[in-house]
Amino acid sequence: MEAAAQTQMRAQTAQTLQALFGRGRAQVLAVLFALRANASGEADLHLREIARRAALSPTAAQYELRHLVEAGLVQIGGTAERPRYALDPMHALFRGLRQLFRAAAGSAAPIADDALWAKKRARQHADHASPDLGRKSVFLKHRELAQSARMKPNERIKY
Amino acid sequence: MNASSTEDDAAGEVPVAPATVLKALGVARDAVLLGSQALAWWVARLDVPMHTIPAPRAYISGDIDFLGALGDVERFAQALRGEAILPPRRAITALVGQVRARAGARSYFGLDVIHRVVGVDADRVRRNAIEFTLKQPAGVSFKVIEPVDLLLSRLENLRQLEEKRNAVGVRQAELAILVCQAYIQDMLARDDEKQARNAATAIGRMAAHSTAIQAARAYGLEVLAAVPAERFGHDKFRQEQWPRMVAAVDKKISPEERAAARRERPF
Repeated sequence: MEAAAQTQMRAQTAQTLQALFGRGRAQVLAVLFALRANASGEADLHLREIARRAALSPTAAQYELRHLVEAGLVQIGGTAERPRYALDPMHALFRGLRQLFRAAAGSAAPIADDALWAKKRARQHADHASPDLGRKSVFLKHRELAQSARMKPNERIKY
Repeated sequence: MNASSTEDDAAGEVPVAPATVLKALGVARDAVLLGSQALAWWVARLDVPMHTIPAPRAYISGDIDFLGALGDVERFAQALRGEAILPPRRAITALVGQVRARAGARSYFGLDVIHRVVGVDADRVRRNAIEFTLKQPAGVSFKVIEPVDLLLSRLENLRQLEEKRNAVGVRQAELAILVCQAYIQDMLARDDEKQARNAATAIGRMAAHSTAIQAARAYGLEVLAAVPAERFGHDKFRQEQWPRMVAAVDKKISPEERAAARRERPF
């Protein structure tokens, strides 16, 4: 399937999930399903982190989590002072919902921000260790590309 | 994570081939080239002497970043015949999307599109970006972050991102200072002294800002070195504005403190 069509399908699925669950609850579930799919090794999150990733206030995230806990889809771990929330893989709807949320996030694993940037940094470190300038940049390997390019004056520059 | 991406992760990312970079630049439109590759572009364009930086080769990374939007991710993915990978719709992230494409049996290359630049207003980056048209292949036009904005982003990286507070972050900031110096010299050589003064004034303000003062204190970075003051023909700039810029920095961190910071720099 074309990348644009895939992107459109994901967007439609995400919209449908929000229509079914409400934006806040869909977003909290998306965060928790993304957590299970990413490579960061995280299994659960505390309230503020869920709120941050879901772009919700902690109060709103707590409200959604309470309903999800009552429904048995989310379990509470951690300590009483600092509870942590995770999906219950034994819940009857877990597999079906996971499929839906993965479809909304794309066929590959949804990108959790921390995991993404961690990977990016790892790649950068590998590059930094290499003495081969050409490996790092086409522009440094083929300087004539940049040196022969025509620069368009920008009259709008304002600092 | 699915099986193929796990395999990809194990195989690792490979440097991007020139033809691939040209394909990406060919469809970049208003997306602005950022980060390490923008630094490399300016180093090549302005023939910046990298040998003045200790072990310069270790401080450029091969990843390609653009400031852009969702449409850019899709366009890059189509042009590179890659897969567009998007973060969850409501995730709080600077990432708009990633494009990953095969570059061999067990390797791939990646390009990231982000919607903000640490410490620099994204609208400013878009407005100030410099457009280039390649001679070969003809007609390929794209935008690159302007050097003063690039320097500001490197300094803000040092201030705001813990993972950038290392030799790589410091050397990239040093390189950005050299790029700005060459950029201003280039403008002066093209008799564009007004624009050169604007850039120098912006750098003067930046040098006296707490971000640069912190970088001077922690890493001995001399942001004002980006201004080749002696090359300016304008008397008022050399005799009034420039001494004021130097005094504003000296007031916050003395030359002795800066020299000590350079001697004792951790990287």
